[in-house]
Amino acid sequence: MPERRTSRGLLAVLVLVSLLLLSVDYRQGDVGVIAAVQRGALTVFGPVAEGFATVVRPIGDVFSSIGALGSLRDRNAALESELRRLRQERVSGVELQRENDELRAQLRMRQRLGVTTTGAQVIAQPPNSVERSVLIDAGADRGLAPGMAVLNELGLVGKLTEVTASNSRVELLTSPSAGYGVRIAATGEEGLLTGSGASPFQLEMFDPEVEAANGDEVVTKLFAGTSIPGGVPVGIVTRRGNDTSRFLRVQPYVDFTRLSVVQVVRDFPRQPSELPAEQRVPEPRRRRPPPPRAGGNG
Amino acid sequence: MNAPRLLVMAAVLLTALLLQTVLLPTVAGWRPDVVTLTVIAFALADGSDTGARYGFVAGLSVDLLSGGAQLVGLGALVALLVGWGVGRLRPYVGARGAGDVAVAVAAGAMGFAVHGLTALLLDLRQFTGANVVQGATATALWNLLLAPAIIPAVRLLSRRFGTVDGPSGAAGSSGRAW
Repeated sequence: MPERRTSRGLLAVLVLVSLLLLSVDYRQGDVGVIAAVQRGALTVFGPVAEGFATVVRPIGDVFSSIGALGSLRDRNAALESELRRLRQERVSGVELQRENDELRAQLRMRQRLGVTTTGAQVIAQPPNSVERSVLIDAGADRGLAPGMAVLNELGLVGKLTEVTASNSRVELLTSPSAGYGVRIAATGEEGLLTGSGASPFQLEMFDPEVEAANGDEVVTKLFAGTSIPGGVPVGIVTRRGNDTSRFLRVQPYVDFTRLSVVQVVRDFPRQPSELPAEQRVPEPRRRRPPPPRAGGNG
Repeated sequence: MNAPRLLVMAAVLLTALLLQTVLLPTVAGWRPDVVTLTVIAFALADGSDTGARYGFVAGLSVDLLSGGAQLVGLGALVALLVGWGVGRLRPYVGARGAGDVAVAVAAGAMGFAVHGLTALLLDLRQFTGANVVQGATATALWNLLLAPAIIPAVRLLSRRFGTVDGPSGAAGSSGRAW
């Protein structure tokens, strides 16, 4: 049957092309031709998604309330925001207390207040459920660059990975391929936070002996070489992972399934003299082979 | 394959991409995979040839619109195999009804599982074992919900604009875009 023969040939060709693409992308990681094509695709798709999002936003709200089935949404949201405001006051309170004990308290405080941000609207989710990122409606035209931190009123949301002229992709805090330097607000103990998809974060403390209680607040730590300001609320410690593991679990403040408006931190005052080189945040362990040139999402 | 037909396929793909990135909700961390559903639908409507072709293009689009952590080509490979496989099953599935939905549920879950397991083998860090099981289950449930709407819609469009290896109702050129 001729149809079958064509079908087999077609199948073979398409499979070969896929494998070829796959191996090229696997080798080149974030710097190759394919990454450039991905950025191109984003440049084209971004504005289309933006237009679509503007048209369907009212419908989208209905759909997303289906996602939050069983809750009285408005009342819930009001109560939650109230709770978060209170929590946040508490975080800054604990932070201040600790910082008052240190001589750099005022400097840090000014740093936190001096953040310059650009507001942006979340317009699209990634096309697959596994990836933890969102697309926003601001890009290089408004001064954004890869690596910038993204916040909302509750705390740290993530950081920019790809930036086109008018759109950017935010890699969410929950993405397993990202890592953030953080500390426990009350004690100042430092650790590395990595996402684990839908479940709470894993927090690996640099000092595995450290004691952390449930309910301890976790905030970002300013590291040289990153664009994440220090002191941004991240979440609270909920429990130790396994008793045997060095990992803590952290429940984020931000609800990553309901992001609407975010702030991108374009600039914040830093004190480079305060940051010795050895405090650089360790690169997240990326399993894909490292590119030959300097790259990645630091 | 005539031009209006290609346009219809492109329009279906774009609509599916927009639906799943902008509109459809995330429930318990999982969103529906409308794009793969349209691959299954075209394969059921037209057969393995169209299934593989459309699957390749659809999978590649998803890959390219994903972030850097997504391996470009993997989604294309999985989607084209899903399209081809479902197309080969077509003669054994009834013309419409429960058979279609069952195929969509099974193929969606298997596609996700193959994608996830391959990514695990390649150590991509996006997936964990639990993720693959959860995701395959979620995809199956979403497909159960959405297949009864999407498969007949795609079949209708496919009929209207003529098929490659099947009898076509109206000539593609006379078709009216909706």
